[in-house]
Amino acid sequence: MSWIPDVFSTLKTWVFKKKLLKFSSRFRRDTQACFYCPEMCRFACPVSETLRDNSVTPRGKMSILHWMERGETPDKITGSAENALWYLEQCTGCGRCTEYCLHEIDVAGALRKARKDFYSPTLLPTLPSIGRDKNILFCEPGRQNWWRSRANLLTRMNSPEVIEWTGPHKEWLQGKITSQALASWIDSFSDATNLWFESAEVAWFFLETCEELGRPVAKKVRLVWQEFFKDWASKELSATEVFHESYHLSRLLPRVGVSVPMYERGLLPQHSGWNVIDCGGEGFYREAHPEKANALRERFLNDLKSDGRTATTIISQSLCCVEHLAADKQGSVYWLDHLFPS
Amino acid sequence: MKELETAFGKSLAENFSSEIQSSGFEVVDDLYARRVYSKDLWPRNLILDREASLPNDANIDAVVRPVEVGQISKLLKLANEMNWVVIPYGAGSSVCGSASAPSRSSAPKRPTLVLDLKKMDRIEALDEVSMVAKVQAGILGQVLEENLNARGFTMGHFPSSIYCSSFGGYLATRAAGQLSTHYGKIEDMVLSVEGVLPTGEIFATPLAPRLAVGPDWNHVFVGSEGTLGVLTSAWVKVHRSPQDRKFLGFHVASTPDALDGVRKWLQAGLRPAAVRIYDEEESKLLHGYKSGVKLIVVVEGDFPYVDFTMRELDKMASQLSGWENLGADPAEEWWAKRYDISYRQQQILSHRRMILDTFEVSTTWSKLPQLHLAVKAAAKKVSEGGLLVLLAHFSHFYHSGGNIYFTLCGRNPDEEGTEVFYDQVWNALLEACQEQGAAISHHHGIGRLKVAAFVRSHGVLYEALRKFKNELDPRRILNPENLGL
Repeated sequence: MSWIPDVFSTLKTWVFKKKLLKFSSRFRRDTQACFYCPEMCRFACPVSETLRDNSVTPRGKMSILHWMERGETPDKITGSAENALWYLEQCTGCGRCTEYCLHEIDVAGALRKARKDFYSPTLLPTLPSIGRDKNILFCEPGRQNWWRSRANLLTRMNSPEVIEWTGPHKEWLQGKITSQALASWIDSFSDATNLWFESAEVAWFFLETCEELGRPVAKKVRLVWQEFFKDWASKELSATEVFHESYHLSRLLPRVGVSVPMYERGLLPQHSGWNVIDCGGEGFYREAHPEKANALRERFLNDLKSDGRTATTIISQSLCCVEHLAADKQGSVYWLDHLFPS
Repeated sequence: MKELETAFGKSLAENFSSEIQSSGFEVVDDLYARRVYSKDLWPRNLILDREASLPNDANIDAVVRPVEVGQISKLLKLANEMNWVVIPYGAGSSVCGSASAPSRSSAPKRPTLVLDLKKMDRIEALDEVSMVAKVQAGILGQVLEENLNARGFTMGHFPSSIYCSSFGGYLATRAAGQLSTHYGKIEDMVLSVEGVLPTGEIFATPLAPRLAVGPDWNHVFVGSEGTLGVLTSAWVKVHRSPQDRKFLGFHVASTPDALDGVRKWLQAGLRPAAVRIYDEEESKLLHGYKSGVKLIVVVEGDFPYVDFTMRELDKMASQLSGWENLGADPAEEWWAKRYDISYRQQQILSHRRMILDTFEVSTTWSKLPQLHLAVKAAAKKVSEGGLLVLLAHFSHFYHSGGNIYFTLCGRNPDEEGTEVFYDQVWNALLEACQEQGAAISHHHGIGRLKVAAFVRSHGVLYEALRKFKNELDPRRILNPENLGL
């Protein structure tokens, strides 16, 4: 009866391989993946790394969602719904947890979507007007005159109409607005030829919303600084200059179909030696949790010092980060336009 | 301090607030933080979380975060006065419950604080001439390694938990990294430790490459799992980042053949960074081998060292029967995914009635093959009625022996009581291991998981250890019940 052990062995192999070592499609969508995970991503989360707090690691935050999926109330899990939201908002939206997840769980996306459930529907903020032109450049607030004084740059973009961005990307990231609420506004861009965005973060919001709604207008999105990448790349940074980029956008944007060679210049964290690259200046985090965001900034600036570097100038890709970093009054902080004098 | 007030009365809470908060501690008593810090990554905790509803309260009362050693001293002195329990906590990645709070059912109920050391996370000094660094306990392994790499050095300590474990945890549990055959284990790296005794006195052991001044205190504190003191920093050896890294892979006819060859390498003085032998079952189930076993080797260091070691390994292997050289690919594949294995646990533990754990034991060369067979046989016996798969690989080697790293994966035959099935499996495997005279842990430690076997294995020395603990910590405030102390 020598076939009996063979059958058992085959069964064990089948069970092990097919049932235990594979994700089922259901499994991949839910929060169990994080609840039982020892957290490959925890070192990448700027919030938990800065606050050194196990309860705000990606797993810590996703576990709240897991308990809720199992029928527990936010009150019971954290003491109150307000507390639960506080935990879910301990996230800059940087997406490093998503990037480092071995099992490709969109942790950042799940947290963003979960936050929506904690907010009552709110009125939409003022949305930027569509404008007259089909070729539009959404510049950052207060930057219209800067662009108008640089006709040579605008010419290269086929002279778009310059409109200051007032869109709700921060509210969307925080969870106060659903993508569905923005559908008709997104649709108003459907016949645009080009939609130029000065901020990569805003572009990502626009693209992600388009993807959630299934709108093809995403194909019209262009990143301004990508256009001028070659010029920028030819400029050597001096020994006292540091480039601070929203590195996460180089990972998030390709997920919605945009390649970002600008971010592939080699100034990645592993080259600069930073372990925490998010200064807390982007998205809603700085406005919702200013004290914590300041702690992230302090960590970021201290990391620069502890690396033994002598940077006195920080050039940042993000205007939000410039404002945030400059408020600390350590050294000089410039936006990318520092590289493009008039 | 509302929670503390509710749990232990206003006067204690006020005392806590004034004494501790005025010392500059960050104190958190929020419910969810207390839930998270009540536990570490002991799979038994995850099994209980999976199979039970959320308890109404957590097992601890507050989390305190010091930034310097003086604060810890003050806290421990106060804890002695007030009879509080203090659990040292790093990244909370222990898989044996070392950083899990004792159950509330333990009498008498005492206020319990978790001492989170992660704000003490700096590399305090790097002596490039002596190649030693002073590192604080709270730094995550990956962050420490990246910071050393940026300065041209490596610590050489690469546990598969490197992304989610702390330097203090390595000290506390007497940890080992994947490249330990070349770089050594944590106790080989440590030259001096600093910390605080349970009664609040700050101590530092002498910094010297070697010394003969009585018993070695480093070896007393390293591996004490937060029961004899709070370790706050240590001087450790560092190495220049390797110039070269090379890989080798073999197909070997059987586990005993593979062990015999590796023994010859090690006893000839060769020190590859990593050697891993996957037994027949693991080679078959996880690596797709139809027969025999998979063996991989990684060698790293300066160019001449790597060239010499590779040449000698290859030469000796070519003289062994049953060994087939597969080139670099199998080892390169492992290298690319060397930290991934820890993160597979979720795929199994998320299923009801399933258990999963790892069990690492060690013994001398002459007993290693028999230990492997005996533990496998014990698994087969205990799994009657249920499903239990026990895979094994050998991953750390020495002049005198090596370890076996078992992965156990099973399904509780009963609908309820999976934690009881988990305990039964563990007890059976530990007993089998002890019958063979092997060490019950090679690098995960003891925690709350292996206490009974730990007490058995120490014999009369356990009583001596208990007396020592009582002298150091007369009120048993520091991590009580861990190591059975």
